[in-house]
Amino acid sequence: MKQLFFVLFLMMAVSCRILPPTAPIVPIDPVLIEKCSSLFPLKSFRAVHALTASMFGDKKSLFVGITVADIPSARIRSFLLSVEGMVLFDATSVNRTITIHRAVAPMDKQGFAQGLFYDVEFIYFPPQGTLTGAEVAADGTLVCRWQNNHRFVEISSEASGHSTLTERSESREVLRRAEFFPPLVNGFYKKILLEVYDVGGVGDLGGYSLSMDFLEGEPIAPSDDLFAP
Amino acid sequence: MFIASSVFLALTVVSASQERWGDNWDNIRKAMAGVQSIKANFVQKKNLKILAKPLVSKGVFFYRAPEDLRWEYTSPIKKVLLVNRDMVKSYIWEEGDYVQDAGAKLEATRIVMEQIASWLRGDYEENDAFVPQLKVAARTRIELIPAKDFLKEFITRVTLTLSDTPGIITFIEISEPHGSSTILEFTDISLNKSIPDTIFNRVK
Repeated sequence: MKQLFFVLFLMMAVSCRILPPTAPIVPIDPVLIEKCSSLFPLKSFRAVHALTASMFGDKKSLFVGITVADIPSARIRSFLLSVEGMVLFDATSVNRTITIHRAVAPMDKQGFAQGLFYDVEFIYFPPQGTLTGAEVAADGTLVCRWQNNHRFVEISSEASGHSTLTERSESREVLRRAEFFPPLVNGFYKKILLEVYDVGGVGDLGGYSLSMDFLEGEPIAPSDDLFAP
Repeated sequence: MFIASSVFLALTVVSASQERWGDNWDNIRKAMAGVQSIKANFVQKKNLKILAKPLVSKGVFFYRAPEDLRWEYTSPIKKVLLVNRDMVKSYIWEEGDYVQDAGAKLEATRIVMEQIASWLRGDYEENDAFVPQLKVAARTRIELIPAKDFLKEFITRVTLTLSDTPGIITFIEISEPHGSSTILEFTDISLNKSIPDTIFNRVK
């Protein structure tokens, strides 16, 4: 009997070890699944932000960012302008295939366009992969966790509307963190703070931070020509 | 004879009074030379294919001959550019204060600001960055076509619309590739009033 118990214990231990660390132990409540997906309500939109970036050195730079995204078709068009109106960066991502229409130094650096589109997807697109956990804390905070291969994404959405989205590596290092500050204007947060950390796998730019202040935007049904050069 | 002389004199006066400051390069240069300072509000409209309506920014600018410029955005973004001779300093508003902006390193910003200062001085024919064309009309325009390849990447044409008031430009339209453009409209223009040094060398 003792031997049988030991074998069972060993089998359970092995089973636990081969499960992903955040795999659900119990099925997730369908209501929570719905709540987690409702945290990413925008399907297609145009948004204009004032972007204050700490990038390319120690000083901050101010840009105007214009993004049109059609999430169902995975198409994004992004512009970065100087405040004076010069187009410094213009590129399209269609199913993660990037076409750069214009990139003025230093935005022509290797990895800049990839990093920018990764950030847009991180902030606006529902996380890829499997929803592995969801819970509501005593204070009403909704926490949802996704796993996609070796990346883990967690969103913590407080009752106040303030939310934090975190992406971690397999070894649980934080790769990206976005903080969303209410109120919502036309479905967009008034302010978003993005931190991208200088750890392996993030890209060629090293770490950087971005403060995004919403200027204007609206849900749209984007026509194909918005993604053409 | 007296009547003929009077008619001739009257015609000469009418002809001279109809000659406007924007009719030829000499008149433009003379009028611009008389401009010692300008203060004006501006509205900047950015047109891009992906925008449903122009992106509007507002601000105020100060110019003092020969080349001091303060270009200040007040809404929706706060930013100040100080241009003196070959130097451009840029400041952005963050958490209740102005901080220096690394964006001043951007060559494009420096070029645009230097060009605006040069246009306000009336340096058109001497300017090797653009080829000027004078379009005399009810609203006289100066069209500037980029002469240098690096400018052609950003700008296809700059159109300056002259005011009836000598030395004043009321519109600047910067046409860019792919149908984009930036339009600057100047209003509440104050000419040749004294402007303190601090406007040009201190951000606030």
